Amino acid sequence: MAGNPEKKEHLYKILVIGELGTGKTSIIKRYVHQFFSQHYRATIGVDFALKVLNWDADTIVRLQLWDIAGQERFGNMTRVYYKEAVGCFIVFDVTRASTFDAVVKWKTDLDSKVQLADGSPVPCVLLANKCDQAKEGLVNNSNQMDDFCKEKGFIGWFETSAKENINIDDSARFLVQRILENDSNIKRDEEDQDRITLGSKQSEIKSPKEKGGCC
Amino acid sequence: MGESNDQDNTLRSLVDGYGFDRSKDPQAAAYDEFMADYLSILARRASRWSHMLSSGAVIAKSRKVKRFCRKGIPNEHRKGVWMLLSGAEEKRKMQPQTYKSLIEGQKDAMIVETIALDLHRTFPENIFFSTKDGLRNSLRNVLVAVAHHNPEKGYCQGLNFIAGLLLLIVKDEESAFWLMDCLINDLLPDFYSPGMEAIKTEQEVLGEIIRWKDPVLYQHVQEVGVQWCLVGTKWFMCLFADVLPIETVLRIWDCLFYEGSKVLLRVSAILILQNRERLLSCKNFPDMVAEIQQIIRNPQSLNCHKLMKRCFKKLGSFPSARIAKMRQDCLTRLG
Repeated sequence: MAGNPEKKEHLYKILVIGELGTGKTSIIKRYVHQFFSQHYRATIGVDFALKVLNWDADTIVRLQLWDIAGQERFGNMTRVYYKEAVGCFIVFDVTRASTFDAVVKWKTDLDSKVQLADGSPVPCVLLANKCDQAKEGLVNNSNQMDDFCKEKGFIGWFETSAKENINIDDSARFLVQRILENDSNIKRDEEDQDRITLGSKQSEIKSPKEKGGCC
Repeated sequence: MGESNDQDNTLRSLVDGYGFDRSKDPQAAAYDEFMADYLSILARRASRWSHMLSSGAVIAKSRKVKRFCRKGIPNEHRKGVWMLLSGAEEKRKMQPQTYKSLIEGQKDAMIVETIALDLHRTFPENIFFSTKDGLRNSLRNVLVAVAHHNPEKGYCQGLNFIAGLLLLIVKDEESAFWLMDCLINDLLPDFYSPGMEAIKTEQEVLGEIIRWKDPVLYQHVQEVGVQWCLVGTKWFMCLFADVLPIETVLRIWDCLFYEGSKVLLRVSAILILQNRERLLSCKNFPDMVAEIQQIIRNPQSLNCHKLMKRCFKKLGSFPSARIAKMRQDCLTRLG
């Protein structure tokens, strides 16, 4: 981290949301620890994981992944969970169509509670997880899925399997690519305005000092 | 249990007395070391409890029983004492048909499905829950009964870990059910309501307690931007089950069934306060979040006897009226 002083370091907050039991925790564990287990526990509240990417020769990307409980009532906490996120995965389970039906609800919740600094929606990738198993519903038709994503404002979708390690890295790279583009666009705008310097990335993700009240 | 400590690690028992597989537990060695010392404390407590019970004393609320609970209830008496002090025994006697009729009655399909999704995700490292046999069916029954007995709350994730641990200790569904009923309806704030107001409030109360006991630390946590509701959701919702080591959780529950939810705030506060130096050294959000994840795993959390002592002695006065006022203020603020 301290090594090359010229290296740019980014810290990004990424949300992982979706219905209960769709494999959010499994995806994160696969991505961060290159490991899959049938024995994950139900996530209560929110869990955190950190993934460090050597993005290119002079860029380090640190992703803080927020693994958020899937039961609907935790939606009462999501305002504080979502705060200052710059990317999001919405996960559904291809073997249970009801989890796909809930995708729009999650997307709406996300967009209503958080935006990027310039007011645009947080880039969001749809993950059709457990694709190593028999699929149910719309996910069988990739044209329709493309249309669905375009219509609902997803930047893309991937069939994933945390178990078989399918598309986990690729989908993350796709999202991070977009986040970096957004970041440099926003930075350019800001620099045009008042020449804010790059550098202290911590300040980006740090919450504004608020007294009390959350959620 | 103690003899194998000095020998090769592979000789260590892989499954503890509650059925938790510790072969992959990074804390296993520390746990064994702690247990070697703790066994003598357990033996002393067992003899003190036997003495009290053999003298014909009825287990009812008294200063002595409260003190005894705070020092830990021996495993062989846990079920009986929890049932009596919480009021669960009374409820079961008064409503002998309730559990059976809930199990046999009409079910809400959504609730049953949601519970089914959590069965294999409850203590997967415990031999009684890691396979389809064992206690999974009992877990389903208890959770379904609780959800249908409290239709305004339904099933709330987190209850699975509480029911699971209760089953491991009391070993019968109906007792576990009534203990949960006492927790949900008598001993705890309304943690499991769909709106989650009480859970959010309790975490703000924890923040207020830190502000009261250690304003410098409070200020630092604020500046780093870690909100209290990111710290304690699982602590409070699971009553520390699947959070702290099993012996520690049981010691907390020994107090919980006697004196109610205030002990949860005490434990939460002491976990934060006893790690103040580490937390103060965290300069940014990811570091502090990682440190908080570490708090529950460090040896101080494992040594339940010392932890509980600190909870009551070191934390000092903790008046109920003040806590009640904090709850009220926090609830209003969250409004």
